[in-house]
Amino acid sequence: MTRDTLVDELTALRRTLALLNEDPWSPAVERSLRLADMYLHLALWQLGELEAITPELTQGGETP
Amino acid sequence: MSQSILSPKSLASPYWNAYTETMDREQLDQLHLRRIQMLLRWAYERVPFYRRLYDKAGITPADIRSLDDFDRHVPAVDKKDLVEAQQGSPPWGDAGALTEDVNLFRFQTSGSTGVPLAIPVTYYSSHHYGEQWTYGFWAVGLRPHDTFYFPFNWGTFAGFWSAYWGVRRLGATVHSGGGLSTEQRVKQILEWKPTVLLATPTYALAMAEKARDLGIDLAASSIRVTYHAGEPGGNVPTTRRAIEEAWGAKTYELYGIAEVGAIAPGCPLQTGVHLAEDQSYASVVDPETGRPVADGEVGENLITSYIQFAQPTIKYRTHDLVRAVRRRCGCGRTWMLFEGGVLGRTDHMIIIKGTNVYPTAVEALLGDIAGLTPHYEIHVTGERTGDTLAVKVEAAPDVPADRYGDLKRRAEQLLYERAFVRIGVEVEPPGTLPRYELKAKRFFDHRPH
Repeated sequence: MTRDTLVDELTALRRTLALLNEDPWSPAVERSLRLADMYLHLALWQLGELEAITPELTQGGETP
Repeated sequence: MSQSILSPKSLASPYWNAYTETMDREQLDQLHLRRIQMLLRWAYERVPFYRRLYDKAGITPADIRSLDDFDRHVPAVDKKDLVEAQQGSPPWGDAGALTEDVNLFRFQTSGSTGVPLAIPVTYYSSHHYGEQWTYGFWAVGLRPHDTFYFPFNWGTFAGFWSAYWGVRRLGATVHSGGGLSTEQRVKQILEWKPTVLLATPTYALAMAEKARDLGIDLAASSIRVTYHAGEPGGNVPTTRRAIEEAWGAKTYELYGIAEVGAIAPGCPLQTGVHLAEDQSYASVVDPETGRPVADGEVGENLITSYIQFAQPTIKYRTHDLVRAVRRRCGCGRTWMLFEGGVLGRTDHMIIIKGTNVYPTAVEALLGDIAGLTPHYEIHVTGERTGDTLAVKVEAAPDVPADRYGDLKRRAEQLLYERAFVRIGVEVEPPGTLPRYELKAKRFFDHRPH
């Protein structure tokens, strides 16, 4: 897989997680999905992507 | 049955993240510029302290279009500026970007230079902060199967908390020596058999000394790597040699600043530390003029962290003197190398008859004198004719007291021959000077300020 493809896939996953959290199933599940989003953000950061500075405030890849 | 939390392909990689660790300089600088621009926007919008600072300087984030713009036009910040900004409404005041809903940890600096600076760390930034350690661990061959011993009491010092976050990122095992005496820790190491020790260089040596008193040879223990932070030592050749001999291990250090991050993990070739350039940017400047120094020249490290979101540190004056080299290292990394680690402090510089003397240089020389323990104190006094330096050292236990005079003369002679200045030496019996669990206090400045 190329780096660009990996970036596209990770970005898509973040959008999916944001959709799933629009109507949270429970605080427990919402928190777990937010943490999953945080790790995807971290992976994008490691690939040199420009992202919102903290995923704790923005989900799904919004810009700051 | 073999178990591993990483694939064989990842385990075979010499780099934790080859993509950024071996990136060419042009790409790295592009990455820096993008992250600096993002950080400036963040700070300008969210942190009143930075908005006021930049308004006063007549700049906005949009004005910074190159690294040269950043180096020339963005004002530097000192610890006292952040402390003052916090004072209005502690703990974060006008220096903070986030609320307690988002902050996960509160640490603080030691306050040794005045009022302590409160340090916020979010859950996310704790991962970045830890990852700076992970880069260093991976580079020297540490892997998830390793076990890390922390002889640390888990107080408000962020340094070894961040090392713990690094071990979590690596996926290795943590052995906590919190709340134990040095003797209990030495015995626990023998019982639990960790492979890595994380401690200040001073405490690693104090543990080795205690072990000797107990008749225990730590060089025969399970420890194969000692990793250090909190103070110079891991990159001072004589100190490193003393630790490596005492522990029978390879010794590395990470250069970190509690309020900024664990910014520079050790080079596996033991030549210095590499700035983790995907997470911070260094401007190395003449401390008097603020102008950038040439590659390879000694200057003050002004650091900009991309991972301290809660309380940004942008062009932060570390007062640490470094020799920065920007070229591909023999270890394969392109990240800036601070050759020899931190070489001194701008506020610890001593001038004797026109010659600059740094405490770490004195430490290195003392290590070459047979018959001394690694414990010492440097006392500087100011007189009309300039600074005067005196060093208190400890004789090794096997040196009889009637040889202290010889030891003093040998030490003074060697210091004069190598440092070109007269430094008075006072030899104390072994065990006289204090031992420290965290940062050692070795520099005593009696000059009038």
